Amino acid sequence: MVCLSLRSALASAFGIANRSSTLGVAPQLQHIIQSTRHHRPQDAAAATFSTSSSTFAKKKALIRYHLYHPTTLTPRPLRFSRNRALRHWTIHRAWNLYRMKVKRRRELELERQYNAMAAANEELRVGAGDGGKLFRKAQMKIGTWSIPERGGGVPIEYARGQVEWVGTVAGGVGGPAKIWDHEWKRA
Amino acid sequence: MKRSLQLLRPVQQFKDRPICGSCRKELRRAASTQAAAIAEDPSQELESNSSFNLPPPSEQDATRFDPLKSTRYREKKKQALPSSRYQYRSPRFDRGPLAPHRPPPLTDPASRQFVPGPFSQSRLESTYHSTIAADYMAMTYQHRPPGFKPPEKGPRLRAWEGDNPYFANRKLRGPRGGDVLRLLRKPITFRNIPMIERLTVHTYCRDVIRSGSAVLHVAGMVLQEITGQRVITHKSKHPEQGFGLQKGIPIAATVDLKGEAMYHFMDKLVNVVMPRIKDWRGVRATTGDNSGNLTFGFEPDVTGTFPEVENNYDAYPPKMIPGLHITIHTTARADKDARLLLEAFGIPFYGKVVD
Repeated sequence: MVCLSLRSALASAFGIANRSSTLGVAPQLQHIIQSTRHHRPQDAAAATFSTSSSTFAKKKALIRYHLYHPTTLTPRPLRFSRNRALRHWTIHRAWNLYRMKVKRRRELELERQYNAMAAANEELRVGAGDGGKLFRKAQMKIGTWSIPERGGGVPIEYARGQVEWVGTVAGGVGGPAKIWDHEWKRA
Repeated sequence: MKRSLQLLRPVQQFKDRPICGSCRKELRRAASTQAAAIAEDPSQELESNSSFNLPPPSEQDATRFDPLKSTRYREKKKQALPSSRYQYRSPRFDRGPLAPHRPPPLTDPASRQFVPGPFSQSRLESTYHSTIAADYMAMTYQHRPPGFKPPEKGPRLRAWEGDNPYFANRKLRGPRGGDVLRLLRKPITFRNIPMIERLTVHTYCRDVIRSGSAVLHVAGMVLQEITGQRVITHKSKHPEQGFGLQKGIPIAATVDLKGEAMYHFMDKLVNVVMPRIKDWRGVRATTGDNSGNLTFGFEPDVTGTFPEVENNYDAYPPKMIPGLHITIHTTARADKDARLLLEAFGIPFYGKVVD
């Protein structure tokens, strides 16, 4: 389902007419398309979604056709020549490798943070010298899963404005947005 | 097959021919002297009998040669040769690793399920990975001292107890108060920080019963417009006497969003649509299905404020713009975790808080 939708989304995004010709359209719809395409201007002015029943039926048939007919839903598979297929394959593998690396880096970073938290808490529990009072206080998760209205949870300001600080070039993490990498040189 | 067999036969004959040791040596010596001669003068390797020496085709043959005509003749006799194009159709269903031929992998452009992209990096997604995930982990961190073992809990399924002889070896009983086994919630570590999995946009058009399917068509187009995905319609499963609803008429439409499209829709929702709703307190905090999937709804006038609909508002019959139900499926195992995650994403909650 996703691919179909993406195709239509792409088509709409790039302004590609889904079917410029009526060649591939089912024969029973040919006359409908013809009639709707070559209607007179006064018809166009009067035509809304709910005019006479015949126009409405035609429009409905058209909408239905473009939304649900299997010929419009099933895209043809792309056929690549050998070199192009190899190029695609190489790029795809490189992209997967890159994604795996990014994912791994994130996981390792989270693990490092988690271990640091665990070490700090252990120090607080045993080595702080207050009998673990501070530790127990820190572990009381009062209001963590509550909502800001009740004085807990995550404040609404947390999510706003954050996006301005992360969209960096080359997958950088944190820091101000770097829209253009001026230092980049062709290797 | 037949041709390859024919080719194989002379080779086989040659291989099977018995050769005595001295003869073999002879042959080898001859071959080596030949190789030396060829290395000196490469033109020796060329065959003496060239096809250029053959006489050209006769006048009669040349005039009679008409490939187009012969093709037509073969087609007429239904003995057409296979097309020179490579005509491979991938099988429609993947019947598992033992099937003789399987469809290409989804990453192969020749596959019918191939989806190009992603073409963009969602800001919401990068926010999640850069900030939200780590903060969420820190917020919900539960310390476990070394050697700590959580107390054992009772079995989730009960045994059948009683004098009844049929209780022996019977399948275990479900939990008290209903047969639904809730998901187990584990403490959150760096491995299971919840994230948004998918997002479902749903609309139920009750007016279909009264005024026909036009409402559903418009709803489908609006959904497609605001999500950028194809819409799936659903038929009613049960008749409803009170509404006058029959079984099997198309009455609802959904869109399932994942990945890039999901994050873009979510971004739009949080940053464009929600701030502009008047007198809206937020999503009710008790929402959820007990397994980390939260649902909320929007009235038709809110649907009208989606930028795609708003910019082209005249294209839709104003009374047919649908309301929406939006379900956010997260990888959290409990509603409270999912709620905390969505709070971090910027969805406001109000009201009573359960669990």
